[in-house]
Amino acid sequence: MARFDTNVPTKGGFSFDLCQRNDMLVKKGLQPPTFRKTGTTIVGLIFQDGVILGADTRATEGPIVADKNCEKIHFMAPNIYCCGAGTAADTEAVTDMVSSQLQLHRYATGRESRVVTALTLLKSHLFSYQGHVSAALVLGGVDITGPHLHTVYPHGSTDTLPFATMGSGSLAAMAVFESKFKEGLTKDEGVQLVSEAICSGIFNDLGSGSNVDVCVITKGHTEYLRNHQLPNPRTYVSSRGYNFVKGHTEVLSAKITPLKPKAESTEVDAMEE
Amino acid sequence: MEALAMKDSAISQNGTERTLYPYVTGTSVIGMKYKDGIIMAADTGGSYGSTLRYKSLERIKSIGKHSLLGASGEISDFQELLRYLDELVLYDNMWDDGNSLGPKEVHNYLTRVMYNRRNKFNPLWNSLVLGGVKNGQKYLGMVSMIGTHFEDNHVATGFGNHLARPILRAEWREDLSFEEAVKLMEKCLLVLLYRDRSAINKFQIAKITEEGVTISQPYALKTHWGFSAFQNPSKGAEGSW
Repeated sequence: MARFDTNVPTKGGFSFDLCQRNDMLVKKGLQPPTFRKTGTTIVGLIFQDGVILGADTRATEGPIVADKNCEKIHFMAPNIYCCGAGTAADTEAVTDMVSSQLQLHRYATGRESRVVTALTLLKSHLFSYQGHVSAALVLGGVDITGPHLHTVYPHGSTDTLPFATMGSGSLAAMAVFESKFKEGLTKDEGVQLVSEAICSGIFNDLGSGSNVDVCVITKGHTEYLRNHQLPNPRTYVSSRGYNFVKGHTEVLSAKITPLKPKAESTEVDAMEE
Repeated sequence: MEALAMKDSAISQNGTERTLYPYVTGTSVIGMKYKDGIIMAADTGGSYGSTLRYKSLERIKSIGKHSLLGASGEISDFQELLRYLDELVLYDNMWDDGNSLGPKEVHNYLTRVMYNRRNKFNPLWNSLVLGGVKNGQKYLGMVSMIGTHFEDNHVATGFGNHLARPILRAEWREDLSFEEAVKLMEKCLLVLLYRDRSAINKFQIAKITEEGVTISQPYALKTHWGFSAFQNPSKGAEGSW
């Protein structure tokens, strides 16, 4: 900031000020903190009456599953939802931010939000951060101009597509879409195809797993089907759980220590409030 | 120190070189078992980096009487492997004992060759699919360039692992007829054609049964680009892409 002219107001976007210092630290051996990635399968498709979005529910932190049942389909507007892949914090933050901006815009204009508005807000934010906000999104919704489905990449480019997949499981899901997608699907066919694509990601990609979330958006009505399919149920050995019967463990010796502290009551002042 | 220096530079004092990267590469090969034997498919393209240099390479060849070998990766290494296998089959024939090398034996030989080369830091840069039928037993296996080998009902190399295997895992059955197997294969090949940048629309499908080997002539698949959404992608989002 020191090298900038003080008359120019600071704008948003990525600040390159600390890059030199970060490079120096890395050379000295500092391990930068890792992010929690969502390692995901997210899909969207346009059907007869609108848009269907789907996502798996596994959040990974390197090789460990951090959250077995997270929500990857984020609310943007009553008629617009967004699936997010990449760094969990980034997808949450950026979708929350644009969702608030859309609400303010709705109050200002008095109209239903349009998908292109969300699209433009997202892409300009992501572009100004030059790809450092690692959010890859599938944005879908139905507005006054019709159903729309877009993909947004971390660097800020977007695509407008009839069907889309993102995340580490995108190839497995895309294989299903490319072989089975047709235009003009009914709602049930669409939900079935989306579930199949997510299941393909869940079972063939290590970064995706657990359950299938689906969101169906049509004109005037949105259905958020949380955990629409649970293809990975947990099977317990015993429904009663564990049962430790008294007497099964041999007691070698017992020692009882009273927990009353040996406190000396001295004159102490009252605590400062 | 000496060893490290030799490892780091490709050219040592006596002028020998190690394979560092592939030059002319073939893309995915898919193989699967069906009722009567093995069916294998590959496109006929050889890429030189990002250009499509060769459009009529045969990447599936028959080995001996009982096996089919399909390869992806460096084409010159594939040709070298074919020479090794020629020698192997020739020496086997010279025994003249009525026995011939089956797919299991060829698979084992290839595994040893690949693993040995990797141990010398000079790999044959290929992923191989080996399939065959001998005495009614169907066999389908894969060897990678580092010597990892396994046997399965359906295998794929390269991008086929990500795009074709999910489909095969969902739709493959033990008792597929030849027509059904070809349809399933073409489904996978079409997805690869759409989504793999180095794939071309010219495929060969090979089948091997107890009777023998048939490698088809190259042919093309029908692609569908007529989605109404593709006509005017930015309709409703003027100025976006």
